[in-house]
Amino acid sequence: MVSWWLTFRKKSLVITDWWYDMRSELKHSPWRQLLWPWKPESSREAGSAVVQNFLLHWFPNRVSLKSLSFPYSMYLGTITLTLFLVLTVTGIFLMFFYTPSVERAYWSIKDIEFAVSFGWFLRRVHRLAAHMMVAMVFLHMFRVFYTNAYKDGTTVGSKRSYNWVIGIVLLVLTLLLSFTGYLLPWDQLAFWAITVGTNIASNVPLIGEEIRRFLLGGTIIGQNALIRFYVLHVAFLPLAMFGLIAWHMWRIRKDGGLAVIEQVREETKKQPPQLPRKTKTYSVLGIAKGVTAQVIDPTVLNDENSVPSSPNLTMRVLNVVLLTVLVLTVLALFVHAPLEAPANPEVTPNPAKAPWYFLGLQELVGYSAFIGGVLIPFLVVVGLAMIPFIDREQTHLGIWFTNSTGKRWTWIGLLWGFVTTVVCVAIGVMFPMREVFAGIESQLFFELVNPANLLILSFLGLYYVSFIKTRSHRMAGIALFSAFVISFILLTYIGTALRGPNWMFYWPWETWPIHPISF
Amino acid sequence: MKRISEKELYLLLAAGALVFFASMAVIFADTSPEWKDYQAEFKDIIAENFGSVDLATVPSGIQQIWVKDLNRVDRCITCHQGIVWKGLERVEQPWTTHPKPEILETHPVEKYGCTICHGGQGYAVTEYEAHGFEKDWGEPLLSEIIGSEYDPRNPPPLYEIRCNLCHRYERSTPGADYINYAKSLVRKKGCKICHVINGNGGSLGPDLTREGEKYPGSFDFSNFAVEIPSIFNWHFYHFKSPSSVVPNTIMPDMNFQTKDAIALTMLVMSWKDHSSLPIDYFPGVELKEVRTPEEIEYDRRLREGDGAFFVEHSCFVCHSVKAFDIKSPTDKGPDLSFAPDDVRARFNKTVEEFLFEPTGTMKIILESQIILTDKQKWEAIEKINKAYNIVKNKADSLSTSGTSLR
Ligand code: HEM
Repeated sequence: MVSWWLTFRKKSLVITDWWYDMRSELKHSPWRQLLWPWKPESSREAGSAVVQNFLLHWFPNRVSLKSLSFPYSMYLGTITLTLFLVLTVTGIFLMFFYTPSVERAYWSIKDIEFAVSFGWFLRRVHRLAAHMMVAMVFLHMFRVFYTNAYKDGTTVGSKRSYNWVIGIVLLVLTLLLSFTGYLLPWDQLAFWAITVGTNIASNVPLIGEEIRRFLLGGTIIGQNALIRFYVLHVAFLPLAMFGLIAWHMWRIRKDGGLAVIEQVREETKKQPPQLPRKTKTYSVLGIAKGVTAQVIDPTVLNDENSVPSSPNLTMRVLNVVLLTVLVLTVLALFVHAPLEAPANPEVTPNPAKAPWYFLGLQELVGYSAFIGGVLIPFLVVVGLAMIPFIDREQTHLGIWFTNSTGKRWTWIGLLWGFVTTVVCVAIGVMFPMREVFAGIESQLFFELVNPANLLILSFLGLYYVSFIKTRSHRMAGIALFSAFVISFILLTYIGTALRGPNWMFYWPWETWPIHPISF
Repeated sequence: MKRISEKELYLLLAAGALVFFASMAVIFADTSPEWKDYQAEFKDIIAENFGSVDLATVPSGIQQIWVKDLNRVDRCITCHQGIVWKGLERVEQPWTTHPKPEILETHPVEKYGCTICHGGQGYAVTEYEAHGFEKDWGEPLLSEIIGSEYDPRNPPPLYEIRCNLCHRYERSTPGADYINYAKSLVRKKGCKICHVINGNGGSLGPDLTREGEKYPGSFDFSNFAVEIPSIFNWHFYHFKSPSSVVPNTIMPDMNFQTKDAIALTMLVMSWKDHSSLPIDYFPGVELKEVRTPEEIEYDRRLREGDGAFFVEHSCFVCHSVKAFDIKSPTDKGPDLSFAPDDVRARFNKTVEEFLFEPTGTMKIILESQIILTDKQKWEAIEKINKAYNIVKNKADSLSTSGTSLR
């Protein structure tokens, strides 16, 4: 067994060596624009690969081992980007077959499922990738937050805080893309999820109805709404997304790399100064204004702590892409893309639910439409965007949970978030405010007195207490963010799995009433 | 320079290989659908049965009938290739000739397709989905498979429901025995006394003209125990015993037998909204129900004769009024012609006292279902007395003639 493995390894190295030779054959051919040295013979060759190649020019010349390390970033951003590209490709194919009209939309999806070659596969991959992309964007944001990577640090020209805000916009765009796509099949699931979703929007005070009318192009979900959602979904939002992703990537380069580079910098500072080295880097090329990190501090990345991007980063990215595609392909073989009965405005499915990532909000909307549907989403988005501007402590960048105190506050936050969310839902289920205060008519009263507000207050209280205890916005932020994370997960789970017909609460072991059928 | 780690390379090889195999699986799944097997088998059957047919002329690939007028695309013939062939009667499904060629003559497949008569999902090309057994497909194939869930020994021909989409205004349709039987029951039991059906009828019960259009979710199954909560079962049990399905209903129990209930269920489920069907699909009748002159005359007499009051106020749903030639379809209550004697015997009251201070069932009905003003009550009393006199006089004249004879 062992000897078999050894020969296998030897053999495969022969193969890779053969490939290296092939590569040098190609080195001087026109293919150079697309292929690149896999085993560069010198740092210089590695660097020019990145500069000369169109596909690689957004990689840095060298990349630190710490940034490359899987446990640091988990490549969640890369996975998200891969999913976005998969969605673009499958989406373009789907566009050839989909008709955005009320009469044809549903039936064109049926055709894609049954009569178009690989249509079923395209549709499944597109849908799976869409759900996964939403999940991955959230996970990516969690990772960036916990690794303290939204901060500028000490690198000149670094504005990671901007990139965090761009990221928030990307998060919102991802949700909008998914939401607009949800309507297109024009089945009951689509129709009623969008009904619920746009009704949530109509709770904005004063202009709520206007917003809904603007989204739908009318007062009902009909042809106007469909064409609006279609154009947003296939043109406007993807283009905006594409531009912002490019900006996001460009900023990472401008920021001197991932935040963990600050750790590398501190370590090299501790070492005895090295002899001056050649400082030329290809990331600057005189195109970018000002000077970059590498020029000012050329000794940060050296042969010990970093490797050339080509082939180390390229190979890693290729692996991440392949594994993402693999997961999607295998899942698509088994997981069907749902298509319910054609949209029917007269028949409300019970329960009617928004897409899963909004079900946490829908749960809160059950307590108060304004608080759950308007105030909390507003607070969440604005609050998230403000994180880098409240927490300005520029130390411990790129370290998961910052330090042991950070870990402790993470646990406290998770626990607090869990308990308060459970209490909030329990009150909502067992003592609905409208029953407890049955005599009261005033809408305002119920906007003020309800479990969702209790949740907001308990979160603010958590921030206050942790800040008093630690005098650190980072620590208080960790506590609050952790409470938010667990609450978001819990509420989404409850909205998805524990809410049945008439939005009644069902334990996982309780069965919902069976849906009647025709025959 | 550091060489790239071997782990990374092996991962790449493994991931590449797995993506390759997964893609192969996808290609295999897409290029070997079950219908290809059926089509191959069909060619063998043709070769066996008709040696002279050139197999290259047998269609292959997804086959479909697009019926523009009905807005239907039916791909059933992708597997059921033998349907329009003659001479494959003895071959089994899915390759067999259509078992009722005479129906195909009057209903050519190009003009009808398949699913308008059989149900099922015409778009689909896999058996389970095409037969419409998917959870969200409202029109399953109405074959014996479903029929036998309701009567295993004698599965009802549920497809007749779909015949009646177009044939609903016919009095009787050749071949649709259950539907014909149900239509005769509707006439005999007088359902239209309380219900509007096809545009006319009484108003005590709901309009049934589009009953078949109702959605499964709009039926209430909470009052009775049933294994499959289906519309079919709801109607079935409701016909057998209305009040066990809808407590406090005023719909009378008509003592329908199992077969009656099945046939009626099929009939009401066929009453769909047909406004999207082109008019020329309806067999040569005006779009209303045909009634015999006697029925029309009887109806006129009910509404205009001396007893019109009792018809107008729906008393006759339960009570006959012999004196005015009114026959109750249910006879749940006693004949009103004898009311004065009856009321005295049972409640020790006059008719006036009883109508103004009713007791028992009539109390409920007069308070909730049939609400009469005082003026109407007096009119009722007057009419009842008139009826009483008529029967009494008849009886008297009979008995006087009898005495004189004696
Ligand atoms: C469509 C959505 C997004 C895409 C495609 C994307 C892509 C990426 C990629 C490829 C990276 C490199 C590191 C990695 O792979 O983890 C990255 C880093 C980063 N992203 Fe995103 N991202 C998205 C959304 C977000 C969101 C929602 C946020 C935060 C609110 C965010 C904030 C950041 C920040 C601050 C960095 C630098 C991290 C560091 O320095 O360690 N991004 N993003």
